[in-house]
Amino acid sequence: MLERNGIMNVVCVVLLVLVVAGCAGIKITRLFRPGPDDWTMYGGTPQRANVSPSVVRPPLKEIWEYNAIGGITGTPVVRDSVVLIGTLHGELQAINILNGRRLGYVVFDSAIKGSPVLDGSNVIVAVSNGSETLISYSLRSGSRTWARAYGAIESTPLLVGDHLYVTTLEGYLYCVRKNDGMEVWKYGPEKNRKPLRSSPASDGQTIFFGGDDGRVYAVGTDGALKWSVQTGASVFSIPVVVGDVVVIGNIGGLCYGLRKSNGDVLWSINTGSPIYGAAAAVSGRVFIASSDGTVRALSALQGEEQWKFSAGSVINSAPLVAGPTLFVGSLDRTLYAIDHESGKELWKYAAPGRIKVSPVLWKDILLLTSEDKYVIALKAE
Amino acid sequence: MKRIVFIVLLTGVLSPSLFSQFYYFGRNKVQYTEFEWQVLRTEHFDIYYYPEMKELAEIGAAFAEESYKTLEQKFNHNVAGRIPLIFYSTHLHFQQTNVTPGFIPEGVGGFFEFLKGRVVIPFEGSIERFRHVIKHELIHVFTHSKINRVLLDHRQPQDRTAPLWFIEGLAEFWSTEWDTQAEMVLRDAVLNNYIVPLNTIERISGSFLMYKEGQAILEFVAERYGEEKILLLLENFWKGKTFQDVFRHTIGKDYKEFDEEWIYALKKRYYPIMSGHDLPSGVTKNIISEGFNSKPVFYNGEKRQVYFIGNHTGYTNIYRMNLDDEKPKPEVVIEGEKTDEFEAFHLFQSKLGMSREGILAFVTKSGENDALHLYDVKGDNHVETIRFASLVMISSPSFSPDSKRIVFSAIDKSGSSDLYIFELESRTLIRLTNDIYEDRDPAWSPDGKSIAFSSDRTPFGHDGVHNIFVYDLRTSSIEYVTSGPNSYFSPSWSPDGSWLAFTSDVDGAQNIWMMDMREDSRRAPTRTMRRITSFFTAAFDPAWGENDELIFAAFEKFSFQIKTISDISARYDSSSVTHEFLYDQGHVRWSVRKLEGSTSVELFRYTGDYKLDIAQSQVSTDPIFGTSGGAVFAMSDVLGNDQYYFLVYNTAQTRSEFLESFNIAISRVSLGKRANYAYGIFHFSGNRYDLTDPDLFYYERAFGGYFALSYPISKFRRVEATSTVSNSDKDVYTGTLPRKALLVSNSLSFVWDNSLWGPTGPLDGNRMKLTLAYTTDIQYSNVNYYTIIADYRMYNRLSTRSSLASRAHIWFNEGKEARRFFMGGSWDLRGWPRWQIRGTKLWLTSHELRFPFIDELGVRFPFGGITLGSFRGAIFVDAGSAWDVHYRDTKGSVGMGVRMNLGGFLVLRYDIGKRIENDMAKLQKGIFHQFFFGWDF
Repeated sequence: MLERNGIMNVVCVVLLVLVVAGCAGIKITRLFRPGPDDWTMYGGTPQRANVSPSVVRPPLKEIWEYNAIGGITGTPVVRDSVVLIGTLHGELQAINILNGRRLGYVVFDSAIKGSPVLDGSNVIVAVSNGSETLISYSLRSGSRTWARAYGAIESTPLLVGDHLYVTTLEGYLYCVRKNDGMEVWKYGPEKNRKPLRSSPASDGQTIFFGGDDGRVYAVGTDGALKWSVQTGASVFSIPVVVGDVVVIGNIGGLCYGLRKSNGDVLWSINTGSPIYGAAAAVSGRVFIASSDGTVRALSALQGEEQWKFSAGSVINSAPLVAGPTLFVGSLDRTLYAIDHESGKELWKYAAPGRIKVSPVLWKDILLLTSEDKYVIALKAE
Repeated sequence: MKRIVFIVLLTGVLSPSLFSQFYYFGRNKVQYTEFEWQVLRTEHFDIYYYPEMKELAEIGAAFAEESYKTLEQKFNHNVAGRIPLIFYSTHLHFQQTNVTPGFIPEGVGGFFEFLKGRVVIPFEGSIERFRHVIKHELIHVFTHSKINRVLLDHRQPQDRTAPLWFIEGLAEFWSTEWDTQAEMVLRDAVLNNYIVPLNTIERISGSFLMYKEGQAILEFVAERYGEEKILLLLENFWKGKTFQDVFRHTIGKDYKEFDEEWIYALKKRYYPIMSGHDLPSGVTKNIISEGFNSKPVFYNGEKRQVYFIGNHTGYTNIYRMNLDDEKPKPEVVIEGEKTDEFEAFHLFQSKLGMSREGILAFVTKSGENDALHLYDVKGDNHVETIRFASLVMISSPSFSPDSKRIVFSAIDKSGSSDLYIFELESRTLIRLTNDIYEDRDPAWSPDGKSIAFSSDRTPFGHDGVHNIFVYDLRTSSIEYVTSGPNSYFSPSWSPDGSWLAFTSDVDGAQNIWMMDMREDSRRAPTRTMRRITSFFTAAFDPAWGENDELIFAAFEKFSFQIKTISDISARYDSSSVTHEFLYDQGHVRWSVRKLEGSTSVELFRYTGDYKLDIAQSQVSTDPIFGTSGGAVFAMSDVLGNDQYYFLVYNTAQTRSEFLESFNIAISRVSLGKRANYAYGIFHFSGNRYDLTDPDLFYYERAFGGYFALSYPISKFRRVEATSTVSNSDKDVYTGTLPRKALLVSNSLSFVWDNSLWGPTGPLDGNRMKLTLAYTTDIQYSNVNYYTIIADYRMYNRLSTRSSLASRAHIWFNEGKEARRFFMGGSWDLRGWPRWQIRGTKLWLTSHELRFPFIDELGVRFPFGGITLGSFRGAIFVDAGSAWDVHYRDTKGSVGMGVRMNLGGFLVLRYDIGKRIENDMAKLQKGIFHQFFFGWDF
């Protein structure tokens, strides 16, 4: 009897291991086709303009809700109906956007604070601790392509051409080859180097990012510093490149419009409260939200305020422009749809929890991250 | 004196054993006042208040919403769910709250109870302090919520929080500015070399110094490393197992490295101050430096005397010092905190008044409200106690020159802090001011025409700034004496009325300044004050002595000392530090913003909002009693006034026993009114082992109900009554026949307790309990006995930290099936086997000398070290006996022991000694050792 029980126990353990092993990993065996609606990195493009190629008109209704179990602070990326999200407990999870079912997950050493980056069928993830902090994972093979040690990273990598750019808590901007992750160059101030939490943005020739030292840096693709500007308070937010202007806010509540070529301050406004999130920009107009819950529409060149909208609580993520509509979420558990011409509220959606991550639109499905761990898909009614 | 406000985070864990009213001994939290609770529902808060303080509740609601808006930005987070905010209009009302079961000390300005997320805050006279405390407590709410969220997001257990220095330091840093009081504490700590580094800050955990050091550390972090680091300390909370790890990840330095930087910066900042300032003890004559002392007043009768409020032993008293004695020693005049009449002094709050005839006026809490007492210092007799039904708190009485009237400041039930005059002959109370401003420290001028006082009624009062004014009794007008953005307190007229001495922080530290109050000067368009002291810490409450001297309290070496300084006129004349008042800041009063219309507000009467406190289940297996399992639940309303307890347990060993083996108890405890009561029903069944008799092992099924009443006469005395009806069906396994009974048991007790506790047990005061009870079987007459219990304990203080403790108790049961009492062991008759001396009658006496033994024991190992806290010693002698029918021998023991408090709730005890055997005729051969835990008797 005992012997039989022993065999059963072994069988159970083996089955359990197989089941668990079967769940871990993401492998996409079918064609993983790029499309015009893809959202492959934070902000949609290297300029981080947060303008969706798709359009959806509210009112929207919920089609599914997915619980990632851990917190999410980076926006999802989407391609060919596959949604990829990084979680604060170190998992990269894949979801089918059509039904909200999990396709698989990969466990990394530490928290994924920024958004993943999709490059073909590879996904690049930065983690905030561990021996290897920049990792490329092949969705095709379900295995790591490469993993490199660049120190703690709490920002979103930027993909421009064949190179990835990533900022680290050790205070460096790294340029690495996307194929093997090897360092091409790194830039960091020699003295008083401070952590970099602000993710980089680029116009293709220059990489822009902010630092805990309150400076905004512009570094050429050759790794040479072009200019830097002191803003007076730490910069956590991600710059947005709008034509010849770089728009960025700091936690002192100041929002700057800087000339892309030399860093001249074209304008600055004081929002009166910390700016944690990035901006969105379309047609020479910038939309920036501050933690007092205000969204401002500013002209990118002069910084003139065109309209102002107030949400019920803190906004710490960037708005998303989708056609004529601006979507922005707040800690008051509300997703607001605003007419980006007039600033008038068009519609709002009561989410089950706080919204701290920018929404993402793929085709006609809007992905909303709520209470830091739920992903909710909304579609036009 | 600017009130020292200690704002602490109390954590209340409600459990059946925590309401003191049903303890064997214990003081009482008396619910004197019946509040008609209302609820004001705003966007983020449910605000509980009573109608008398409606205006304050609306002001507090506006402050709370305003703070919420600021904090959600600072924390980059908001709080899920509504926050219960419970307001009281005075500190005395606040002390009656049942949200926490413990007593709330004088200095606690509010607390956050994190199990249910409740915030409880009293209004204490100052609108600015109210705003500060609301924000301080809300920072606790946000910190708790943010840390939990961060841990949850990273899928880490929510079983830890930040250290107290960070929690309180952050609450201070983000709720208030670095003020004179904080500066006083830090300057003193740095210049007197007792600053505690961050690396060892747990040593002062919970102290006021820790609050201010925590605030200073975060100020330094923000200044040196950036304000964002404060937020990152919270957001990085998941990164380390200890907060030091989190600190290192965020700041890049461990505690030791940080200390080097921080303490060096403090020294650089404060050492230069020494060159331009004085150490109080260096330039003054000391009157008393032990303990905490405040509010001196001078009287010259047959002797030159100083009276003051002091705490030297743990109790706050009024002391007297005869200045003419060769070696003046403090003599207790009024013994406080031991009797109903002088229940509590407001140590740093209320000044003393002295009439020309030698009548001392002082204030204590006495019952529901404060009372004004008059005491003849010449005859050393208490003249009278004056109570005012309309006034809750009173402070700082000052006699008119003819001693027929007394002016004082007082707070009524609405929370307004105003000036009042009481006419002693006509017994008339006259209100002088009636507004939202805090009016305090009144001082009647020697010509009897005016009253100087301190108030926040200038435009700067919105920021908590107090200036000095004079109330003209002839015209009922208020005249500015000082103005501007600095604070001025405690005006005191010179005996001839020419000068006014007061304190001011105009030069960065609170010092004594003086102003010419003669008619010519008062009419001048500008007035000048001159600095008399130049301390680097602080001076408080100047009072005039004779011969051109001032007596005052000074802060030095973390104590409040009474000092005197002479040649005041010369000091005034030679003072080169002056400050001129232009009075051009206008006589504009400020107002407070209440909740605005844009915020959604609901108002309704509170009828009870119950939530679960605890839910716990357990399955246990015992070799004798088998497997049993069950659960306990407790729930209470948001105010903690009504509590429900549910116990479900099953002791069945077979399926057929399942139904009859249910143990169920349901109790309701009501604490909302002065008479606390509890009632409930129960059904207990199962195998029992009677501890009082090792031969009795039986099955019992008992069901019934009980009612218990506790009526506190005062904080120190109460009457208790219980009545139980129980059907008891006993099946004795070994011994006699089964027994059935319908038991009715009634008891009546009187409890008195004013003891003061040290780290391992009481050190001072008295405790007593008298119980009469009768138990009878009204159906079968199988049980019928009465009980008398008398227990008296006395603690005589021999020095500050040592005392002689004595106890005597008699337990007496007589009648049919009378229960047996037991003793033996570390808690009673030491040296004898635990609980092995048994009888229906029992007496015991113990005498114990308690003294400090080792204050700190550090043990160093190659891999590190441990430090153990205070060890206390005891030398004891016990004697007692227990018997049923015929008296047996008297047993005793002598010995000594050590005790150590672990974590504030557990006392380890180790005793060695000798038993006294053979009816106290012979000492035991050898010695006994006993190791146990528990508080000293």
